[in-house]
Amino acid sequence: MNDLQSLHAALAEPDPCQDVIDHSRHRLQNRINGGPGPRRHTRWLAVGTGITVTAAAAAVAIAVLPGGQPAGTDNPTVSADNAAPTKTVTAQQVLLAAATAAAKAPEGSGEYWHVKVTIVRADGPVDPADTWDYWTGRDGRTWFGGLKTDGKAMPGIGEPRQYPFDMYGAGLTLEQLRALPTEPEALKTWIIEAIRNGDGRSSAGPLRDTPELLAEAQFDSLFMLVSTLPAPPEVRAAAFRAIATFPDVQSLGEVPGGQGLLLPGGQRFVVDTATGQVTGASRFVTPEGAIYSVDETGSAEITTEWTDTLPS
Amino acid sequence: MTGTQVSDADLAARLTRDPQLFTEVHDRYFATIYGYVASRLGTQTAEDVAAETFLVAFDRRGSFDPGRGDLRVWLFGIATNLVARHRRKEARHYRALARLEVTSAVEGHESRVVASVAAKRLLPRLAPALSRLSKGERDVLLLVALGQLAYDEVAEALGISPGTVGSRLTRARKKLNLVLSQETPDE
Repeated sequence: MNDLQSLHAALAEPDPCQDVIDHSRHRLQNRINGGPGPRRHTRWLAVGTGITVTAAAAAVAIAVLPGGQPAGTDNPTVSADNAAPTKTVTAQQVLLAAATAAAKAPEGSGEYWHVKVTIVRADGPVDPADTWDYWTGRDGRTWFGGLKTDGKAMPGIGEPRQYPFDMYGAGLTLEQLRALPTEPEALKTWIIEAIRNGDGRSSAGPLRDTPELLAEAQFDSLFMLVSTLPAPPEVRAAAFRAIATFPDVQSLGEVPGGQGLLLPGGQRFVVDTATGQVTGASRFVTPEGAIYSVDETGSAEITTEWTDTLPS
Repeated sequence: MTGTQVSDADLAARLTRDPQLFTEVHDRYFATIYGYVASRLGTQTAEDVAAETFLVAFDRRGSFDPGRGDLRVWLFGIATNLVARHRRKEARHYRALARLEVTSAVEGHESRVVASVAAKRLLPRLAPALSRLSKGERDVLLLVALGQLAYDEVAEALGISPGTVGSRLTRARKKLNLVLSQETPDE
């Protein structure tokens, strides 16, 4: 054996196991479907440049042109399900109603935080490959379930996470999540500072470097607080109120699952204003940190719960 | 993709029209890239870095020129750049390997397949020596030894001349002082 062959023999690691291959392919598929990549610019420069929007401004009505098309619609491609936005309820009203409901929602308890995502499409039944479950234990251990695991919970890759709950460069323990600010502006500021101090990056570079990226990351973080993270009721309420301060959120009216909302980049989500739950989204961040986007033919149904059981 | 095996050049040419084909690139090369990265950084970090290689490659697929090299070499270049961001983890990995007591071939969940017990016994001397190489020398050496790339492929992957590849490889091998035979790799 020559020296190069010895080097190879000394250092070589075995082939990756199927879990590792699948996990990587899953992340790649998310990216192909429209994940992080070079980020689309949003029109939320006001947020990124530190201009404070007060609660009074949150009551601004959205201009509606004759014919029901909202003014300044960036992306006219909305789901066929959604009719022209109703004038009777604004996005801010929906979000503030969701905040009120979220503050009153029971917190739930259990050993594992379970997030279930199902991709539904207007044109057909659910593809079994399009359902995933994620479990996060209080000690940071993670499990993943899907078609390839026959629905069983398989241990997640890597060691238990020291900060099990991820919010864009700010990893949090459950205690830290519970201690987040419960006032919308303070929460927004906390998130911006965490992103600036954190390691969050997109392929375009560190998130802290660009107002547009920061604004998008801030929104994604707030969205995670109301959708996939086990944030306590008061924090979720604050997050809804914080989202209500973003300009250009438009109401799509009543849709399956609650009230539909549309963001300038085309991202859609559905809020049940009776329960304060986000029931669906066209874009969400998985507990592994992958961003999943669903095109306009469908959306991701999200259900979350605390549970004491892991299917096995 | 069933039926006839599509050549890499064909695959590369179709990627701009059909991004979904990139999963085929992943299927072909993930294990290869993972093997290289894991040998430098350990299996834990390698999971992320190998996956990241394909995400970055996907983002940059428009800049890949099939006429100038093949996909595998291009991926090795990206992976090597990503490995460079984990210098401390790389050093820790070699130090950890150096502390392994090697008595026999053992396979487990975190398996290290021991190809040769004798080679593994080099590890205590290998670890500090590898860390003392310059980044350029280490990248060239390990792309050849671990990635099994030819000189011109290393040159392509790293964006340097084949002459530079040759001189860095020679210096690296001298520093490691492991020349056990007079064999030299094919040019």
